[in-house]
Amino acid sequence: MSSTDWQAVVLTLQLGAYSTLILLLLATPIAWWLANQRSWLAAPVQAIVALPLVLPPTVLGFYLLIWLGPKGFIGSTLESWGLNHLAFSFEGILIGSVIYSLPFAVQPLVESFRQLGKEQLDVAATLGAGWWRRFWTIVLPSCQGGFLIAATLSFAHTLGEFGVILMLGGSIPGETQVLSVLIYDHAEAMNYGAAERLSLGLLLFAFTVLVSVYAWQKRAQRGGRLC
Amino acid sequence: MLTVNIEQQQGDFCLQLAHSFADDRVTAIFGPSGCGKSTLLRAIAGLTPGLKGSVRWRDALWHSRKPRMKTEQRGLALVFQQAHLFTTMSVESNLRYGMPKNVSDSELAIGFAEVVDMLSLRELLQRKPGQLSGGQQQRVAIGRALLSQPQLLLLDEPMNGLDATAKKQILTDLRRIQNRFRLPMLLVSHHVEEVVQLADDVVIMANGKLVSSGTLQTQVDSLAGHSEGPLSVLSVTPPSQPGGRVNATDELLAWQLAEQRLWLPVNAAVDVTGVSEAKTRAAGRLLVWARDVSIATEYLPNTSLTNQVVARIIDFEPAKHVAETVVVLTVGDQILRALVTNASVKRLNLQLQQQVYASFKAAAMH
Amino acid sequence: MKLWVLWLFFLSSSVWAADLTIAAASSYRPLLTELAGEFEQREKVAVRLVFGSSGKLATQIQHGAPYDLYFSADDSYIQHLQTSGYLSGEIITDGYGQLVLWSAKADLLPESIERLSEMKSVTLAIAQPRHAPFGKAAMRVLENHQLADAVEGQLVYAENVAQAAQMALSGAADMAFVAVSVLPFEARDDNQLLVLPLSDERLLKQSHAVLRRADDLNLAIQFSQFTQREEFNPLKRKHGLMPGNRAGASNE
Repeated sequence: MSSTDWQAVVLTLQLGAYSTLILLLLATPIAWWLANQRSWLAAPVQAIVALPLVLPPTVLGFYLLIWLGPKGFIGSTLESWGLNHLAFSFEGILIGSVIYSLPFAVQPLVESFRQLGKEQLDVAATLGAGWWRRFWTIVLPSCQGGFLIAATLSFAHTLGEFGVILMLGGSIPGETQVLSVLIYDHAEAMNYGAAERLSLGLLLFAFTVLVSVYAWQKRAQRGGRLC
Repeated sequence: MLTVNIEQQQGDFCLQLAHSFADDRVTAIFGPSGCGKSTLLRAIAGLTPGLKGSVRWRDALWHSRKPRMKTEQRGLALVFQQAHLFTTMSVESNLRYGMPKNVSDSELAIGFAEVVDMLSLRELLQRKPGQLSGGQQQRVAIGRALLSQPQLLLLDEPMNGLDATAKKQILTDLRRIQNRFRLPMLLVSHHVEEVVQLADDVVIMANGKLVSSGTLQTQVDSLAGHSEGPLSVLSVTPPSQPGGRVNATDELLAWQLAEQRLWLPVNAAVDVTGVSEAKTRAAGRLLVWARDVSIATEYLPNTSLTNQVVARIIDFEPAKHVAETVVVLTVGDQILRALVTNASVKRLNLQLQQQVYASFKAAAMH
Repeated sequence: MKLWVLWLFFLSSSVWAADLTIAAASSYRPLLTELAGEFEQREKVAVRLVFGSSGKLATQIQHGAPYDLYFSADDSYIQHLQTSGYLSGEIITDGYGQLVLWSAKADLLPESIERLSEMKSVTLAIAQPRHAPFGKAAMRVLENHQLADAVEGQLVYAENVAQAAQMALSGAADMAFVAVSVLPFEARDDNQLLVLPLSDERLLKQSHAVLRRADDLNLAIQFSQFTQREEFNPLKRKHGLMPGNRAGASNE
């Protein structure tokens, strides 16, 4: 594999890892709110979270490019503070991935939180456990299956992301050229050997990740550890 | 004192209650299912959103319009109908969950070792909640609540759904806890037996409202109106000397009911230690259903009934069924009710102030 | 422990910082890959290349893409960038792209473009004329020979000229209008391709410019001058970039 390929591999893993981390931090409160909310506000919020599922990635990429670029309100604000705008940068595609994969992180967590018996949390409160302790000792262990699925789906979905990154990030080696974009680039350059090698690698990796998750899930279900 | 003045709307149902609960004894909140007992307990614990009014515990304002203390800061513990053990933790971790950290067992008012022994949990410590029976789970839940060192223990029908043996054990455990730790408790129940065995005070509720309240003795009539029929609660004192046991095979103990002697099974739900300090003499309580009491005008020498006491008729009350009458008797200074048919009253020619023999089976004492 | 791994992970990305980032139309790929490699060795700098369609890259530049130079296969886009003030200095013409009709099967190829009207059963791959310069040029050729209506039903459209070539190379299409530069060397057989001279050579003018926002303007200018050296003219011809594309231009 060439150095460009390695660069893309590391960049892709980086993007996946950061997206997953940010998504878990972001999706947990959203999912918690959605799982326990019965007000009319829940429906529009749920719709916003689910939008990336139905929108073509190009639409999302287009808006992000407009907003995060130097002429957009976010990009121009950043520039007025002496920072860089976010289009065509790693930070930009990270934001794109987080938004694009948000439903894949939120949905399993909502399911998981809904199945969590609220009574256990009430009991914990009557035993003097504050919010933070209840989360760490009850929610997290009881919903570890949901968290694992959310993390896996976020990671896998980020690896498979293409449209948003191409639109928002271009194909800059070492900055925004992740594996999916590089494979496209190789194919366009008629560099079929390299495209095939990377595609096969990605395929095997994705398969391995999913197999381990489902195997774990099955084992956990037998042990009754999934909530 | 726990002073509650609250209103809680839940759909069509409205709980509206103002009452001061004593903070040095056990108060039973009694009433039929759906009368708002559990909601009241949850409201006191701070687990119901949208609660209006105020809750004050001793000097602390737990709930009012603006300042509201979080559940975890109130220093209470709640045992729910289901144990709701933390499924991912062992029994021991469950028990230790609410215990103060970095305090040695001996410094705690309610120690780990003591609770474990009292509730016979030592064998279970390493197990997971899923491996326990319903009764065992509930005992763990009670232990867990106690070990959080609560100032106030709330019990929401902790014996609901358990089989008779488990129920009996938990009832015994609760009495032992009450006796040992002197914890103020609020017990929600719709079983008269539990109320009679545990409560000092009784609050009777119906349709989200308070119907009546007072000490157990003053509420016996009201309890009767909301349960399976007329009943009486007899105070009995334990045998003055341990040698009161007749013999090992009979497993009977002699108890004093005023001047008279009763023979009760050793395991009958009367606990020698199950009394609060408020009472000067250690006494037990007997719940006697009026339907289990029969009346004879003479002493019956040839009967299978173990206990016959001399009583005096002081009143006749109408019973629910037109064919029956409740005969109100006094035994010493205590009231005993007997449910008999009108035909029997006529046949025996029962009169006010007449002396009769009231008999009931020891086994009929719950 | 895990956080440490992530942190190392994060640091490593700064190692890839390049000195020069060049955005170039796909048709430039073989030429620029060689030139950039040469430049990196001589000047001891790191160059990164970003390929795409001329129009897409121009859009990215207008949205703040961090490119230092822009190589365009379409005159209109680079002209537009100049009038909008994104360029620094002049537009440099590198040469003219060469449009050919290519087929995997040599016997299928017509002797002249006019004969296409008789070949009703062949499919013809063409880059999207709306935004791909080689597609636009091919359509102009068809129109000039009054063939556009006749073959309309036989055209299959590709996103860009490289994809049009892929269609023919893989056999999905019988023939394709392509740039010589995107064909693999072993496919550039005289029997397999028909050179299509253009009446208006500006259609396939290949040019580049330094961008105003370049991080290192001097280095960008240096690279621009480097590509204009006489010594690379044979290399440009080899990769299908001709001094002109009028009748008589030949390949290799």
